[in-house]
This record gives sequence, C-alpha cells and structure tokens, in this order.
Amino acid sequence: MLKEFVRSARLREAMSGYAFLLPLLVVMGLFVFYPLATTVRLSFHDYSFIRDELAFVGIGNYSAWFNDPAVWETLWISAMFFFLYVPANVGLALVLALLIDRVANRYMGTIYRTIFYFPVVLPAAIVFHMWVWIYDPSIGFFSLTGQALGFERALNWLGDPSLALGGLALMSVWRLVGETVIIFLVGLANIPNDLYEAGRIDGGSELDIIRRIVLPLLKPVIFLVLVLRVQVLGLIQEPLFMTEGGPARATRTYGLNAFFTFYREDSVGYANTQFVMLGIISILVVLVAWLVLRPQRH
Amino acid sequence: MAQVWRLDARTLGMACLSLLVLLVLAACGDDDATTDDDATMEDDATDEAEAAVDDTTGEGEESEERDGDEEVTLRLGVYAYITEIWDFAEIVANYEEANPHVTVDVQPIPGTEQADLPEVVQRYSLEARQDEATYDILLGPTAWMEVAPLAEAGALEPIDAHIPDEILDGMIPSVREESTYSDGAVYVLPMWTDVVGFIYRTDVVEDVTGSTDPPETWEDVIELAEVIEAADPDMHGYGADWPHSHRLFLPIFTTLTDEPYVDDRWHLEDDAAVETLELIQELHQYMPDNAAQDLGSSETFQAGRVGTMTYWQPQLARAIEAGIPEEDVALAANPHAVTDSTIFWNAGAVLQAASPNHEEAVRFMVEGILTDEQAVQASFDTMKVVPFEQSLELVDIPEWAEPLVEQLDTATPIPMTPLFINHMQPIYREEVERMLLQGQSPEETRDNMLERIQEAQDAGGGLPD
Repeated sequence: MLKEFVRSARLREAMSGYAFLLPLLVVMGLFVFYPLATTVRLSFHDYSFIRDELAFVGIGNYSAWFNDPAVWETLWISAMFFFLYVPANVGLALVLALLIDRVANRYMGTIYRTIFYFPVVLPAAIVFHMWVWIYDPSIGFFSLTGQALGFERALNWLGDPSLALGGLALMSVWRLVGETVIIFLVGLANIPNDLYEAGRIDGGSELDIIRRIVLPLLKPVIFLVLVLRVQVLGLIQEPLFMTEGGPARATRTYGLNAFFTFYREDSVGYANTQFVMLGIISILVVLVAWLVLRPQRH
Repeated sequence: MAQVWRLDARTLGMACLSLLVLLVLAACGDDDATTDDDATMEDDATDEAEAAVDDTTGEGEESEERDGDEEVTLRLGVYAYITEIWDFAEIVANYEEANPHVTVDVQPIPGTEQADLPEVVQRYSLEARQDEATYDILLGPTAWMEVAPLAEAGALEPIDAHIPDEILDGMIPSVREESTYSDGAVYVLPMWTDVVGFIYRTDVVEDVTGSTDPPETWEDVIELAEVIEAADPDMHGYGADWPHSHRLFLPIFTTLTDEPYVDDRWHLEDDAAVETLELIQELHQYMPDNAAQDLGSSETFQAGRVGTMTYWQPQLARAIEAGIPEEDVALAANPHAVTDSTIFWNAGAVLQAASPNHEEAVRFMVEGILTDEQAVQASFDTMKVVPFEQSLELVDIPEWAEPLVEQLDTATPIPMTPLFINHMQPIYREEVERMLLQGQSPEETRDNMLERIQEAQDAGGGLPD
C-alpha cells in the first residue's frame, strides 16, 4: 500500500509542486523569516552594536516599551500622520482614478497615468530636497508665489510645530498618490461594463453609479490600499530627511523614534522591541480595516 | 510512464535549482554573525585564525614595514563632497609619478552623498569586527562626528605611530587637540579646517553705520541687526543655523566662558550657558524664517536678504558665486565676549584598522596632499584652511583666511566623543526649538539640556569610561 503510494503519480506531482515552491521558500526564509526571527530574538536582549555586547533581558524591553512616554507620544504622532495622509491619499487617488478611467482616448489615459505615477519613480532624496525648497518660508516656491500674489508672509510649513506634520503628509500625498491611482485603475478595470450600462439604463446618474456600483465593488481594492498604507505607521525617511523629527518633536514619528533608539542610543535590542510592537499594532490596524471593509452577505 | 518520468525530471531540476540558490545565498551570507551570543568568542577565534594566516603570508603588522619599492595599491575612499575641492586625477598622477611603486585607487564612499553618518559608522564598525577594510583611507569624516564612534568601536588605526613627528608637531595645537580621542591617540589627520566666523555685507553695514568695520561683540551684532532691519524692512539683520549647536550655540558659548566643556560635555552649569541661550533668543528675532533649515540663512544671504551672519568661510564663497559682489561681502573673526574664541571642525583622513597599508596611506596623505603646493593652493582656492604650519608656509595665506587662521590659536576644540552627535546635538535641538518656538525660558532650556545630557552620559551614551 505504502509502496504504491510512494510510486503514485499523485505523490510525484505533489513533490513536483513543492520543488517549485522550494526556491521561493529558501529566499523567503533567508530574507524575510530569518531577519524577522532575529528581530524578535534581539527584542529580548540588550545589544550595543558599537560595543558588540549582548545580554538577555527577558521581557524587560517589552515592559520598558509600555512604560516609555516617548513610545506613546510618537505613536500618537504616527497615528495623526496616518489620519492626515491615508484618507487624503485614498480619496484623491480614487477621484483621479475615476477621472482617468472615464478618459475615452486611450493615449490620453496613458499620458495621465504617467504624469501621476512620475513622482513615485523619483528618488526619495531628490523629492525631499525639492519639497524642502518648496516649503522654504523665505525663498521657497510657496513663499515666492505668495509674495507675487500679495501675501505678506508665507506659512512656515516645516518650521512651525503645528504645521510640520501636515507638511510632511501633503508632500507624501503628492509623492505616492500615483501608486494608489494605478491600484484603483486595476480595480476599476475589473468592474464589468455591463454593470455601468445597467445602472445607466435604470436611470442612475454618474454619482449614483459610483456610489452604488463602483465603490461597493472597489471595497477589496480599498482594503488592499489601506493594508499597503499601514506602513506609514513606521514612517522614518520623510521626517528624518526633512525635519529630523522637529520642530519641537512635532514630527518625531514612532518609526523615527525607533530609528534614533537604534542609531543614536545604540540600544539595538530595545529598538527591535519597538519594531516588533509596530508589527503587532499594524496587524491590529489591518484587522480593524478588514472588519470594516469585509464583504457583506446580502 | 513517460508522464511519470517527465515529472521526475522536473522535480530533479527544481531540486538542483534550489540547491544552487542555496549555495549562492550561503556564499553571500555573513558567517561572522555579530549578533550571535557567541560573537565575541567567534571573533576571538577569527582573530587567531587570521593572525595565523598573516604569519604565513607576511601580512598584518609586519607588512607595514614593507620595502619602499614593493608594489602597493592604496584604496582611498572619499566622501562625495571632497571631490569638489581637489582634482584627484591630478593629485594621484603626481603622486604615482613620484612613487612608481604606488597605485592610488580613488573611490567615492557610498552613503556620503546624503551625509548618512550612522550608516557610515555602522558599516565600518562591522568591517573592523570582521577584520576587513574596504579602504585604506577614509577621507572626509569629522573628529567629533563619525570618528568618535568609529574610534570607540576599534574601527580605526591611530595615526600617531605612522606620521612623521615634524608633521604631527606642525599641526595647529587646537586642531591636534580636536583630533585626539579620550585614549590619548590621534585618530584623524585633518586635511582642512572650517572655522566659524562672521560674514557680513559691507555695503549694508556701511549704509547704516558709516563704516565697513564688523561688529566686535555679540551686543554690537544685535545693535547692528536692529539698525539694518530698521533701515530696510526687507532685509534680515542676522542669520545663523540655530538648530545646530556647533553653528551657533557653541560659537557664542565659547566666547562667554573659559571652560565650555567639562567631562567631554558642555559645561551647562556655567551661567554662560543661560547667557548664550538668551543671546540666541534675541538674535532669533532678526533671522529669516528659514533659519531653522540647514544653511537656510546662508541661502537667504545669497539672495541678498540678510545683512550679517555666523557661518564658516565657504559660505562666503557661495555668496560670491550667487552674485553678491566680492567687494560688498567680508569675513571677520567670530565676535568676542569674555574670551576671543570660536569653534572649528576638520575634514580629515582616517585609517581603517584592518588595512595592511597604514604607513603608505599616511605617506600619501602627507606628501600627496598636505605638503603638496598645488593641493594646498587648491584648498585655499576653495576657501579651506589647511591647519598645518608646513602647509601654511607653502602658499601665501589669502586675506580672507587671516582672521580665521589667527583665531585658530584661541579657538576651543570640540571634544571628540560619541556623546556629541548621538545625544548633545539632538537634545540641544529639541530644547532650543521649545525655547524659540514654544516659549520655554532660557533657564528651563538649560536645565532640561543639562538633565537629559547627564542622563545620556550616565547611561553610557558617551561610551568611553
């Protein structure tokens, strides 16, 4: 019986399938699971990179995490950034995608897609430097334009604690909206034309069609976009390059705080704890998004 | 049957491919895992094994006493901005012609385009742990920024043992002090020095005071800024990069006290700290809105909208390049108060600890650049001060450099400690932002800075014990 099973074509076929999976599993293991396991392992240690000293501290780092006021302060800043950036990014991208989807001319559609996607492919450092100049309250684009229009004083986007986070969110929307537009366009392309036509025959306006047909059918795509955008909870690059977490800690996000814990304080273990906790928080956020956006049974 | 055979072949093929991928990835992997519990033991074992290899190959310490005619390839890693100063093709060609046994391979160091200093520190610390060296020389780091943590990590070779005494003795004393780590060794060979001085528009100052003389004290600076703004509402009276402690706080603080540092940290208990913060608060009202940005005031100065500013000498060159007439702009020494001082920093050359070419590397830096007339002239041409007596004797010191070279004698070196870049500067920035943007008092600002810096130092943030 066993011999027959071993010799069976079914087993060989299964083995063949696993063999196809093996290279991917090896790569995932080395570049995803191993680093992840190392991160979790280090989160239970005190580790100084410069001194190369490692000491097991059990759940010490996790208990420190709960009692660290900087963690809660920076989590709040990251949450504010999330609520500033994600709705603006998703909303604007949805509007742009709907407009581009309605463009009758195929070539014009391609041109619009290229225009909106262009900032995504620009190197981040160049974009950050460009926006630092755009925001410059003395000689920047906004300032000079404002002066030309007769405004006396420009807003100090990155220098005012109450504006800085919004400034970063605005720049991020500009930089990444094209990516979200493309995802929405893929989602829109999957909606059968028959449904639009049926809506029109039933006398629905364009707005009705969007509200009653397009948006419900785009829910899985919106969920996907939200999952992809949860990464902004760990935002590092933008505040690091543009504001260094200032002014007055106004843009010190959770990710940046963990980055500084790693590099400046050389507390590699505790920084890893912060990253592990960020992973858990991100999963919880995704779970909430799924509960809100999961398909409803009718 | 044929179907079964085809499946077998595919399975076998995939298994082989997986094995190949595994082998390739294993070859790329880092078998000297530094995060391992046994890292120290493994390092010891590696050191012993490599020492044994060195014994047989004649590398390591002994190789530094190599014969002058032995072929050597020097790997010179340079920070991105350095190439704006020197024409390395010419420097290298001249040196190779004079030293036919030496080949110099100049390569830009990745990550330095964006001044990604933590990444640089981490990369070369890790290399040192693995007893490896991508370069023989790293050209560009600053003593109290990257050099301090690199020295602490054992990633650098002290230069004292390799540099001729007369060159070391020719280093301007304050610069030598700034290049010396807490273990007493000199780790960085300064190639040039940027000195913080006072840059101003002579035409603007003459219009409002009737003279082109610079202000001498900080009180004079404030008075001047006030009259400049009163005379022209579009002009800012003063500019400086206030969020950077070494660009405003320290240039003022070192003129207000004889003892600006204690135990490698700022001597914030001194009343001069509060006085400095009060001066910054006062000066801030004359600064352009973009003064919080890196070089923001300098850029506004270049646009013709700032009358005076505290910066280092290349910012004068930038203003002239931007179109401010050369005769309308001048550079003076840092204003004085209790003392006549300033601060400065060096772009230097450091030696990677595991390089087998320490002697030859230092010889190239000294003979190829520091005592080469053309290279020294090129430094001054790009408004860089070369801080060696031997170098200063090679060329006529330009007029703009005279006050700065003179003030280097009274300048206060910044202690080389990881505490500065990792803790003191970030803490200063946060607290001064609170003072200037959120109304925190100078006294509170000083107290908070003192408490937080002491905490960081007590927690080992300064590292050397």
